[in-house]
Amino acid sequence: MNPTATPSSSATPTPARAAAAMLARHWDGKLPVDPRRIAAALGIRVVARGGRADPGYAFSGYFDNTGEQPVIEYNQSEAVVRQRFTIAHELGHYALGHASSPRDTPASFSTKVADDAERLANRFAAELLIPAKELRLLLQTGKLKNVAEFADAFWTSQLAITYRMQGLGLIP
Amino acid sequence: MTSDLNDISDDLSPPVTTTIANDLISEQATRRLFRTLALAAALLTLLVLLGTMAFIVHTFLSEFRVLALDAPVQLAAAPHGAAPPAAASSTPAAAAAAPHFWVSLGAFTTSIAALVTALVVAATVLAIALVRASFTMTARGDEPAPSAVDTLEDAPVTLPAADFVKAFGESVQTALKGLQAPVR
Repeated sequence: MNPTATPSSSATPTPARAAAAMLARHWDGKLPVDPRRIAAALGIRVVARGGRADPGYAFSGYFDNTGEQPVIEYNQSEAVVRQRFTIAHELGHYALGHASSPRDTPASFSTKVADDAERLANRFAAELLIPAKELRLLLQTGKLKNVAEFADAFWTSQLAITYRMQGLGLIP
Repeated sequence: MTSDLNDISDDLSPPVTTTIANDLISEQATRRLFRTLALAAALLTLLVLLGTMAFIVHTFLSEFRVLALDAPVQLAAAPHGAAPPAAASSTPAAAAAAPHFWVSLGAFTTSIAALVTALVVAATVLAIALVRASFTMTARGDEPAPSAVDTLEDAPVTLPAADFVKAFGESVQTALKGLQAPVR
């Protein structure tokens, strides 16, 4: 099987299932989940944009599936947690069988985004970076006391971990 | 201008909390595994005990049922309590002795049921204890363990049950004093 083949749209999995399958195949079980490593294992080229060498890049990320090899772009001038979420988000477009997406702006990662594809990709990113099983296990230990520590444990933003916990019904 | 994956610098290492989280997750997963094993072992123990008890009770009752079927003649032949020896071979006398036997069998069955109930309760308590034991897998590092010297110093100097005997003696003396007191 060609590792770079995009999953067919006729059997598009849910974000949760797609993320679980990707983690099962390409994650070593250690936190934090590395979306770049997963992308590399899938044969996806990950390209850093922005920064001093590319100051005109005004986007957060982009998924290009038009060439022979899928490409994910992310903005390296943004915060690391945002970079990780962007790559995971673009991986979501790949895993969910979306066509090449418009270039993602920071608004694409908002929970209020109207586009279904963007919303599903966001959910996929949360499922990928914050696996439910590990989150529940960590909560059961009672050793991490606040959202900031959980965010550090998964190397995500506090907003992302909060939404994930709410989505799982772990916090009101 | 773009740079590929090999150009991305990895100088930003993940927070230390991720390492702690990995250790915590590993410990918690192990704890859950042992808890599951303990639950399975407790359930298995309970099932084996229940199966054994059911077999024993069934065997006892089957044997006594056979005895009960043969009982009228055997009981009549035996020197049994109020039954007069002259009437031992007569059928009406055997019929009269049978109710007494059934009363005894009923009491025995009740005793067996009580015993089985007690054993089931004991087995359940054992199973709960096994499960509970699997929860205490963490050591309290903030409390120093009692040293052997302290334990010896705190140990009671009296013999086992000496306090009980002493208290019992005092109770008897108090009762005797009460009996010897003049009636008002």
